[in-house]
Amino acid sequence: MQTTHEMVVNLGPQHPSTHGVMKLEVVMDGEYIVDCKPVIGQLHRGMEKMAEGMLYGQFIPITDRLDYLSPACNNLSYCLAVEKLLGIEAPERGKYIRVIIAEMQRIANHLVALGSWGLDLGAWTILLYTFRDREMLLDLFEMFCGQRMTLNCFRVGGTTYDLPDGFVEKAREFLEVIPSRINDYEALLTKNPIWMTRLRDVGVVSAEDALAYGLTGPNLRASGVKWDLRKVYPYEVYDRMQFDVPVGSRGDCLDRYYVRIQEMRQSCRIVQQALDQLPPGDIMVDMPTIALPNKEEFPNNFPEVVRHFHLLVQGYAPPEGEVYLGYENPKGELGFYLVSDGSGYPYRLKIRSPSFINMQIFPKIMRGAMLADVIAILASFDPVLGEIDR
Amino acid sequence: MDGLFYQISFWVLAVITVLSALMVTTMQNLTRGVIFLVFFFLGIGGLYFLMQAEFLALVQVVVYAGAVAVLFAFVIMLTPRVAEREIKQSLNLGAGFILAALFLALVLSLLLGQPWPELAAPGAGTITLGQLGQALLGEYLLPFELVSVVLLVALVGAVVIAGRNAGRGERKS
Amino acid sequence: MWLYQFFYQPGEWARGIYQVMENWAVRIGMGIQWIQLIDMIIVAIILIAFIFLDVMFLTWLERKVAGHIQVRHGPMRTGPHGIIQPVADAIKLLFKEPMALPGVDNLIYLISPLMMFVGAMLIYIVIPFSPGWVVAPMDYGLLFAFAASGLSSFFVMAGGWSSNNKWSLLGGMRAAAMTLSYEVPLILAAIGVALVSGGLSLVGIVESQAGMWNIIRQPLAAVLFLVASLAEMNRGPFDLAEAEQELVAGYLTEYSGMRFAMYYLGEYTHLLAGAALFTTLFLGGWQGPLLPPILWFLIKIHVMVFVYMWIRWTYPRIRIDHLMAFNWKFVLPLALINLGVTGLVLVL
Repeated sequence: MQTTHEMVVNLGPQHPSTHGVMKLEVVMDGEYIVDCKPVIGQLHRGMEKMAEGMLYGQFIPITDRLDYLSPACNNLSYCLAVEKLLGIEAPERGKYIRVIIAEMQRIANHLVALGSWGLDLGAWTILLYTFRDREMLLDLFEMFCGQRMTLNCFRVGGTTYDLPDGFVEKAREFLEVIPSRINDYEALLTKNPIWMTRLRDVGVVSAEDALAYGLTGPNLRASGVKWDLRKVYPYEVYDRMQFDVPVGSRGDCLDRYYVRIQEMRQSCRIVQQALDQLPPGDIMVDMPTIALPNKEEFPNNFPEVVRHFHLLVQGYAPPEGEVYLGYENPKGELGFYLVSDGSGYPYRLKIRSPSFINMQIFPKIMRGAMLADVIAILASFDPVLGEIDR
Repeated sequence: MDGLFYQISFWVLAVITVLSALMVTTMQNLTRGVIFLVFFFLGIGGLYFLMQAEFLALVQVVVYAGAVAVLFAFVIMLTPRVAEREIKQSLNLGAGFILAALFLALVLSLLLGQPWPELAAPGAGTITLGQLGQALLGEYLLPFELVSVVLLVALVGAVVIAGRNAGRGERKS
Repeated sequence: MWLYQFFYQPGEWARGIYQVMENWAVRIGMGIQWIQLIDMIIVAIILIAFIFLDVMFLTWLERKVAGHIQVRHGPMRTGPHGIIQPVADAIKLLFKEPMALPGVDNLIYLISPLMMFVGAMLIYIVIPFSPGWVVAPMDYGLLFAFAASGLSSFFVMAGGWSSNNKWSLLGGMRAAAMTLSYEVPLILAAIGVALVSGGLSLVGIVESQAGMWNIIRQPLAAVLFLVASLAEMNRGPFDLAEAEQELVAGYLTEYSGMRFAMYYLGEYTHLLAGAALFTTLFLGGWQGPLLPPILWFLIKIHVMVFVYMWIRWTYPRIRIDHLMAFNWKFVLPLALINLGVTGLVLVL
């Protein structure tokens, strides 16, 4: 009788529905997938090794390039890890500003995820709608720190920039507009029969599998596990915010979509509350050994110039020890494991990137799926190669 | 427009049809053969048009060129190692010629022995679609239904056979 | 007044021109057949010119519609509002290098885009543009339209196969399977209309809609025809044959330059033909008060083209197995029910 032989298809590394340079070697039997092997490393830049030669403060711009769609959150996670190592905390206003920017970044990230997901599945219009709304957010970021994408806006101990004049008003304007826009996306996609048939019961991840493989973020919550680091280990000012954690039930792509839509709404709530509760005060911790001096004082204050020089050349030395801090990135738990040997340079920096861990489940859930589903599943996990390859 | 156009059309279509048929039978690459088969069917359809049998011509194109040829193409393209295989021509030309000559003699004797009626002028004696439909569902109802049953049996049989094969080459999950 | 006759009594105008040409031929002693030949050539040229111009306009329209649905402008720089964009596209495609690919079956590779285009163009010869302006007023015009569209779908598959690319072949075969499957409800929906109008002639169908357009008399058939024609044209939510490019390769991958242009134009020709068929069957063809019939016809087909584009830019793509299931389990039974109910209503 006729035996079908299996074909190996290479999806990537150059690929239209790209989430970065990732190669998926897919072994197919006819229409169905027998095995799937992700081949990564094409974007490896040696960040963890670079960190060993950089001062703690110097590494912050590098974290921008990890998950380049939510750089503020990466910055925040790293800064929190170093602060934990140093044993300090940012002042109140600094914390609030960090939470505001980070939650806006979460909204921006989910907008991109949604847009590119729609594009992969053939709904080209949704990409342009979400990017139009993301432009509003990028304008706000530009107001805040001058950058749109690689924000580099937080520092160990707080933030360098304060919210400029007009930021709060513009942010409130944005918050008024975005709920109706999210409703538009839901109107376009949620009840769309084609969208639902493409995503319902595709790429089902059970709760046990999700926990066993170490999934985090919306992917974990879609499988029914109510685990959000902002609620479980509240850091910054999340314990003062009221927000819900959307949890799915089936663990299929459609649930991952719902979770992300709801998370956008909850992030709007958080930003609203943070803007309401924003206290006046310092934005940077008041420690001369860590905080950079105010540049406006420079011409008159020579000791400050010397201090500036010391901090930028020698840096500060945290006590010996190791610390791990995980933070709820839009894609999952971004964790930094820092080992300090008492010098100004980290002895070892290990980045636990959520997309890298999330990706491990791909071979398991793609078996038995059709080739068209591979794209849907890949998009629903929202991986980004900057994170995976570091 | 009988006359010059009729003659030109007839000769063009006849040449296309006969040439395509020749290509189909002599072509070594099977898929090219299918393409020429499509042209052959189109040529036949054109000839039917010339004979004022419009409905038959259209059905010929829709069914043969549009469906049967596609079916052949699917079979050829989906069966591995058939599309690339080149059909070797038999070298026993002598026997081939003798058989062909005998067959030609038989056909010619039948053809030339019969009186062929002149092609009727259009409008006189042509069957309209309504009459065809009435005949199919009236006089020839039983053959029509039997043919439908035969087709159904073929369809179900094909699905069963294909299903059984798919079961044997089941994917591992 | 000639102008008035051209617009409002196009049938007589055409006959008048034909008469004039015949008299002229008889006067200068040329055989009547030659003047008929010249007539046919002129009509063919006019039809092809119309198709080309309209299709070029459609490529521009697609980008504008896509742009405006996506909250952006679309082409704006080439000419006012980008109206010269199709010319720019054509020039670009002309200058592309025609690649001689290894392993490609040259004959079929070259013929497929042409035959696909020819198949799409053949549909236009039975569509009534105006009372009296039909290139071929056949008694079985409806069936001819479907025969031509089925022909063009075969050459989509042939093009995919001849590219010597496993994935083009797969894409082409999927397109062929989809087109064949959706032809069944397409024809059944159209037969519903034919039942109501009493014949397969497109001219007859248009004229029978003088009182009420068929979209009111056969609403279900209209919706089914819309869906099935989207699948026939490889468009909208059913464009998996070419959007396979997002996965591996579509049947168009190995085509470049003018050959790609042929396929591309063929697709838009098919789109316009589908819109014209829908208009003829359901929207009353050239019927309409006040305006000249040809204008009504053009307005209606472009409205339908806009609807097709609207659908394409709104919905995500459907998967092949869902597509087949949708056809056999949903669209086809509905088409059969529609036919049955129509027949029943007509008999009673």
